[in-house]
Amino acid sequence: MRANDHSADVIVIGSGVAGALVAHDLSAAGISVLMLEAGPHLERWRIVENYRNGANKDDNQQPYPASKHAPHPEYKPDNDYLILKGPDAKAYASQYLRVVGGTTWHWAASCWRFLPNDFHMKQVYGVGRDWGISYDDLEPWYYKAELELGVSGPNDGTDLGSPRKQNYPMDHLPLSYNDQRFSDVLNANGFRLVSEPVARNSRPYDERPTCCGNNNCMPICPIAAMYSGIVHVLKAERAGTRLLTNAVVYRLEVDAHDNIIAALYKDPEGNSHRVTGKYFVLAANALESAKILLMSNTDKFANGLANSSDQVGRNLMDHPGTGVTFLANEPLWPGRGPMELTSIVDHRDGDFRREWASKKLHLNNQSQTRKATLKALSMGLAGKKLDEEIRYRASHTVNINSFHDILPDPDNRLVLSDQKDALGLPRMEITYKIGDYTKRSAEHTHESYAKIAQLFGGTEVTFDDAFAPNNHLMGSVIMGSNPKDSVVDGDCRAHDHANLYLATSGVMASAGSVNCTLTIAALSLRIADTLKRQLGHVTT
Amino acid sequence: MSDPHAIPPDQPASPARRRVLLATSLLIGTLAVSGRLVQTVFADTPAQDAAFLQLSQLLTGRPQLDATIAHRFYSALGTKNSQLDSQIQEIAGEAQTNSLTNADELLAALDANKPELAKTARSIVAAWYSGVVGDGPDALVITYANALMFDLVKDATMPPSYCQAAPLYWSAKPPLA
Repeated sequence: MRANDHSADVIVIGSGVAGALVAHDLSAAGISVLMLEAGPHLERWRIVENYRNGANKDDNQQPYPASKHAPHPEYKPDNDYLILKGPDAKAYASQYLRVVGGTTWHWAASCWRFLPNDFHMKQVYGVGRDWGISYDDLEPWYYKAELELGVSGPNDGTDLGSPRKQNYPMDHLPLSYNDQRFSDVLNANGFRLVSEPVARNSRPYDERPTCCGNNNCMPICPIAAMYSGIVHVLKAERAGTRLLTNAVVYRLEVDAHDNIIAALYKDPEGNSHRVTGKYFVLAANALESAKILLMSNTDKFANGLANSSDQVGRNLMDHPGTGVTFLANEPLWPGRGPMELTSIVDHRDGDFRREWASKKLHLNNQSQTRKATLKALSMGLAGKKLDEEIRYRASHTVNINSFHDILPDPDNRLVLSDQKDALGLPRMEITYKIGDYTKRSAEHTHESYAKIAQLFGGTEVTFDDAFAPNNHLMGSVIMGSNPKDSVVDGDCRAHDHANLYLATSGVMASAGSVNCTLTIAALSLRIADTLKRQLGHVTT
Repeated sequence: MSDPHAIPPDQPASPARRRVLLATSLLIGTLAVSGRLVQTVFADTPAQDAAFLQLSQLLTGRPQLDATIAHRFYSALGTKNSQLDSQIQEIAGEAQTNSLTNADELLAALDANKPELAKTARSIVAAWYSGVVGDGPDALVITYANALMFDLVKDATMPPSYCQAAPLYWSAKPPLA
């Protein structure tokens, strides 16, 4: 069967890295795929121009204006798309994109594997939950994901805690002077700082160029040296995937056997359309995927689809972040090379995880020129003094940020609001609270920041202790081996619907301490493999 | 040079428009080599433009400012400050009367005697250094890559989204200060 605008073997909902990887892999195997994307297609050059012409250079969402029919969160000014509640509402003011290619248009491109113990938090440390699968189940898929995304990493034997069978596809990029100096000082003083694996080319790879240090990974790499989901969208289309843009899926239909038989979507004018398939892959990001399941309620599935456990939309996680900024006593010149190259990893795992959250700290290598200038101007300077102040701050500013683990809590949840968007679809109401497990770790992080500042003779040490979102949306359609308390099984298949797969970080049952994209990619490639078997296609 | 990247957000960059932009930037780039040439070329611009450019040169300590960008700063600042023209005259008068030839001295004098003029002078400085006029939702980006702040650090870093060196250049040691 060939895909057309109405039907395909596999319907993929969402065109971010997860959906695009599934679509590409299936199409390459000769399976017909129809991929639906709620938002529009954006050209890279337009995004770059939007960045350069935009005043809010700190806002990664700015170059991606939300469409009326498929809004995504905007904060400057706030479009109130997400209705945020609870004591830590601000810490879930998440950024994601509803456009072709998804949110990896703007990301740090960090491609960490989770640690073996991350998959067994309950079993090993007595907190949180177990995934129902292990690191070993994912290891081959992690490697395939690294090949697909093009990951460069330290091939010099650096142990990042996640056992590897092969080298990284590319050797890591050389450190910037800033990162090298920071690394030398920290590693000589009891910290463990390593070169970070990233989906960024250290040599021409997959028809994309070597990184040349535009220092603009967020919000847009101008030259595609950094991987973005758009890479596999284009590959999937070349392999035969049919892509429908501006198709806002709002309901999945089930038959008498609880199989999904159709997806209904609205076009920007509000007209409804229906597409049918044998298998459905929901890859619309952790929040939007849960929303679609909740919107698909029927008499039989009164709480929405895939939700007999009542866990859809619950267990929301992110990596609550804190930061510090100070002036070092030597010029380091952040802003040369990619925006992030190194991480401090000495508290990613250990028995302390029984009591407090694991974490990763990372040095910001973003150009500080603009912030230095705004600060120097605010001091009222002009002339030579202004020039000197800007240069001093641009060269001496150190900024460090962090990801903290958070435990899955069913009360951290999204529900459908009575308020509607432009197409009449419910908006999401999110309640979020960060518990003591994370707060205890953040206190320890604060002490680490202070120590680091001291090592550099830091002045104007400014702690940013208020938890910030890091846009790693996890837990909303959580994985587990027990259908009574989880949404999907170890294959990312909905417990309640045999032909429905969830390709999203929403399935992740622990947050760990690292960016979740590589794990999404690995799980998605594994879903594609499962589907190939289901559809009778030979797999390697 | 004029800013070749100032395509309004909603305007498609047609090949024709790109050629025009390129030609314009090359032309101005050539002419901007000396301040005298700029003066000649823009001799028929309004006197207010010339006064703004001249004051900008004093306030930034840079004799070679781009006249096209100056005009756009002038227009944008004017929409937020109805007194701009008269204040430019007053500030320039203050500098002339007291023989103040650099921004530090001029601002110190204004702070002491004419605080409302100091505020306007600083808004002009802020525009040239940041490339932006105003803040919040009303902020107007006049130029990005040509903001003076980037010129100040160009021996070490570049305006983000631009790359002006070979890949992997960044491991070399940057300037010491």
